[in-house]
Formats: sequence, structure tokens, C-alpha cells
Amino acid sequence: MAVRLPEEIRPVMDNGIPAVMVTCSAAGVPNTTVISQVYYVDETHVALSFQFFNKTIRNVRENPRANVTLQDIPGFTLWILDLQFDHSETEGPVFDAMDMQIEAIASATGMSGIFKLRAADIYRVLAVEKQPYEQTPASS
Amino acid sequence: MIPGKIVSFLDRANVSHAGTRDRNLVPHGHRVSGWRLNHDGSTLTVLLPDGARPHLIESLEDNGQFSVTIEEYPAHETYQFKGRYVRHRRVDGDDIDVANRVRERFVSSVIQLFGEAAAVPLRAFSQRPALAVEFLVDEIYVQTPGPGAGARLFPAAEA
Repeated sequence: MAVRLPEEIRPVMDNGIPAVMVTCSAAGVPNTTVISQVYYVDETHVALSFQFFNKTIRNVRENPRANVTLQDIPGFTLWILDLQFDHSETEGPVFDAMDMQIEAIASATGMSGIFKLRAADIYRVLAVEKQPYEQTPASS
Repeated sequence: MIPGKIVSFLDRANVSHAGTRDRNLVPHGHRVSGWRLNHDGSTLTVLLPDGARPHLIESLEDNGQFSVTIEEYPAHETYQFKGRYVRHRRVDGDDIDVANRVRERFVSSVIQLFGEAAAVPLRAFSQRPALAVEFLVDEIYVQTPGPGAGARLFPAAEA
């Protein structure tokens, strides 16, 4: 049975808070990187921006599995996605929409001219987990 | 030895995430509450909350591979540390002090963007650590967005 993304995850994808992606090379070396955008394609797919994280791009073409953590700080919740790379798009509606979003993120974060979308990498969602955490300030 | 530039960075950075992989080469992410460079200058201790446990120790004991991205937000200065698992233990009082300092750096930096109303969720975001993982740093990569992203900083490339 296909895993479906819940509707409540969509605002988290659009909240502007960077996500974190972990991939693994064919040689078995994990790679952790911050990503600026996780784009909702449909109930079973997301797109990630291919900008400069070349090791990540190499890894997912060697070993298609990826783990992405989305951060809902106001909602005291993490969302963990297990993904499998499917294909890459360099034109079309998903690419165009991501390109516009990247421009907006770059402008909002003072990174204009640095972010450049090379491709929209489309991933199938294998699992999605919602992880609420304690709302009280962590204290010693 | 980890370069001096990175030693000072570790004292001002404020957010981090770690990665492992299991025996089937499936990657896993783990949230991080703090870090400290050890006296040998070559190993880092990473502090992780209870919520980071799934797949963590079993993956480290299976293959030892560990990667940690540490960032100074919102400046976006970011480095990735890759290396090999050495050991893990429960956190002690010094570790909790380290995590508290990281949390306060994070809150004081980010609150300038979002205002005082964000203080509670920002503090909660950095969870109390439960586990300390020590690893030997083999490589450090630049991840600051820009043309230098991906370059290996340590060990330095031979001329």
C-alpha cells in the first residue's frame, strides 16, 4: 500500500524553516546537509531542489534512499520522511514552481544570487512519521 | 587535529543534525542538542536527545559511520564533520551545561528574526540531551551556501 502524505504536513513544507537531508554513498558513508526547500508534488511524492549539494546528488544516484527531517518549530513537532529518488526534472511545472520558491527564499534570507535551481529531484515517499516533542523549555 | 578556525566556529555555532546509515545502506537522521571538541583535538562528542535514538546506536555499532552538520544560524556558516564512532554514554552535568549554552546561542540569534513570542518554541526545539556519542573526525567539509560548498577543509588537500 502506498504511503500518503497527510494534509497537515503541507504548511510545514512551506514554513521557510530549513530541512535536513541524510543520504548514503554506495560505499556506505552517510552525508548530512541542510536543504532550503521540500516541495509537495502529490500525496506520494516530494521534490527536493538540486542546487549545490553535489555529494547528495551523487549519493542518491548511487543509492536512492534518503531521510529528510522537516521542522515545525511553532508546532513543537518534527516530521521524518523516508524517501526514494525517482527521477530528475529540469523543466516543467514542478521545476518552475520550485524555481520561484527558491528565489523567494533566497531573497528572504539574504542569499539572492547564491541559490540557483539546477533540477527538481522527485522522490517517492516510503514512510512518514510525525514526532511531537516536549513543549516545555528544556532545562538543566 | 581539527583546525583552529573550526575550533572557534564550534564555540559560536548554534544548530546541528547528525546522520547514520544502517547495514542496508538506509540513511537515518538524528537531532542534536550540543557538541564539544575533546581535549585530544581530534574527537567530537555529540549530545543527542532521547528522540534521536531510533537506529542510532545499532547503526553506529554495525558500521561506525557518523556525519554531523553544524551551522551558525542565521549566518548560514556550516560545516559537515564525517568520521568514525568511538563510544557512547549517558550525558553528565557538563554535557547538559554545553547543551544549555548551545540552546541559548540558538535562541538569542533566532529570536532577533521572530521576536520574543518565539522564545518558548525556540527553547523547546533544542531538547535536553540524553546520550553522548564520541567520534573521531576524519574529514570536514564546507557546507556554507555558495561556490565553495562541498570543498574539503580537513585534511587539507595536498598541493
